[in-house]
Amino acid sequence: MDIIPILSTVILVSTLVTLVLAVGSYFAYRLRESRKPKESTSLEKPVFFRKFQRKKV
Amino acid sequence: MKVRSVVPILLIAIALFISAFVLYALILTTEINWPNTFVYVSSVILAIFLIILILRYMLLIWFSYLSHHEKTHLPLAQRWPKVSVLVPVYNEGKIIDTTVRALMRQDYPDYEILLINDGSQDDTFRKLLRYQGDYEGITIKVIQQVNRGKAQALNAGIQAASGELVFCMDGDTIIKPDALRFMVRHFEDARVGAVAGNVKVGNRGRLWTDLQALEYVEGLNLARQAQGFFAAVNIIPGPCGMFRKRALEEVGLYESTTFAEDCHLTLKLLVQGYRIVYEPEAICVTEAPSKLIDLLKQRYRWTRGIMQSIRLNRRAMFAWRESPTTSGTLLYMGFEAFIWPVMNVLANIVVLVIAGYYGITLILILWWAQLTMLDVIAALYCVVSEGESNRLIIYGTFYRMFFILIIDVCKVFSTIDELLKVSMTWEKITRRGGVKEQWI
Repeated sequence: MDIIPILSTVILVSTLVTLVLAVGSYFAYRLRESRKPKESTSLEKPVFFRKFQRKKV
Repeated sequence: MKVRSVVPILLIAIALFISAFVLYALILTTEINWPNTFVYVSSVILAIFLIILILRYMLLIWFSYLSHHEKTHLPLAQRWPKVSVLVPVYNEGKIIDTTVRALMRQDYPDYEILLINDGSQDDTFRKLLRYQGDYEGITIKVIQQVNRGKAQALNAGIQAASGELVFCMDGDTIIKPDALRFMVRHFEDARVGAVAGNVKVGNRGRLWTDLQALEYVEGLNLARQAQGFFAAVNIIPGPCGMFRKRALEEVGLYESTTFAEDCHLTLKLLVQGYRIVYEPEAICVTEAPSKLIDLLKQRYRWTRGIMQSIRLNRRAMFAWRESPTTSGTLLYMGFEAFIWPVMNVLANIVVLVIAGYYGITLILILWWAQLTMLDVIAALYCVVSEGESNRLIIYGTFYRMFFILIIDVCKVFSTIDELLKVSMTWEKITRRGGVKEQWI
């Protein structure tokens, strides 16, 4: 069999697979990032503390 | 490495580049039955793309060679100013002992080590405290701060530093004993504001880390060496860079405004008019991501960080008349970081369409052969000039078609995200250890 069709098929398939892997892994990375638990904001937003309001007399 | 040993490789590289040009001429004149104008025009564009790539490699290798030649004949320093070594650390418990011990072995007469703990949650701080004290000719100090990020940790170190020169590195980096000596010699020139060191991958043995080892040598250091010829290195690598303390204070230290604080600081120094050079003998090894996802995370941050840094210094990009070197550096940086990846991804897609849909397989084979040849030549030159492992040349055969394509796809998406201002956070990649000194 001629070497050119074999070689070109190997290159074609491997480049295609690489492109799919590249796009797929990028979206996998983004998905992993979005699934991470977000940092707690409990220190920034007080749960029990209420600002003292002076009563009008 | 002596200049003489690089010369034959340089000659081979030039011969192969010329042969590549001849090959292109053959492709365009070969009697292929072009099915339509689209295929013919695409093929011509691809040929132009490849010619740009060849020119790029030729120029990089040529200027890298000139820089290499210059450095080989540069004498060592006449005086040894005090150097403050700054090591910002955050959860580096696994590797910090190796890092500090390598620093204590520096063959330099006057230096201090400042270990800045950036609010680590593991046993790093406890380990650091064991080293605090005065040794023969070295003082080690530990600075503790709440977690404020690497840039602020380095700034705390710069403010506490008593040296005329400041060496900044990462907590997972091991430096060669003569690194400081080689870097200091460049500061004899008062115009030099910073020196970039030679970073290598220290945790080799896996596919991704081996490919990155080649990338550091061929992609990053080759470019840095070439930029060094013009004294316009555009990124002082985080793991290995020396600065004139006065220059740092002049430009306002590190900033947390970007995701690539080292790049932003380097550009600020360039814009201020300082010369920034590269020292290939200042070798250090660092830990590279060993998993694809971690690698993409790192490159995502780098790309967006570079983009942010360029945006903050954009005024200098178009001030061609005031400072042509800085303007050229910024334009080249933008081209390499954003335009080139887009061109590379598009070119590969077009080749696939031409070969897969229209069945012109000859173009596909020539395309692959050309790219591979270019990378093997570049890898050969880098391996010889840096005395690197020959194994890296083998990786050159699928470096561009596989590794660079994956990285470029990530860069394209990162650029889009940055343009759309998608939110992101600075998050450190988990260290797994495994950095070996044998690669120094």
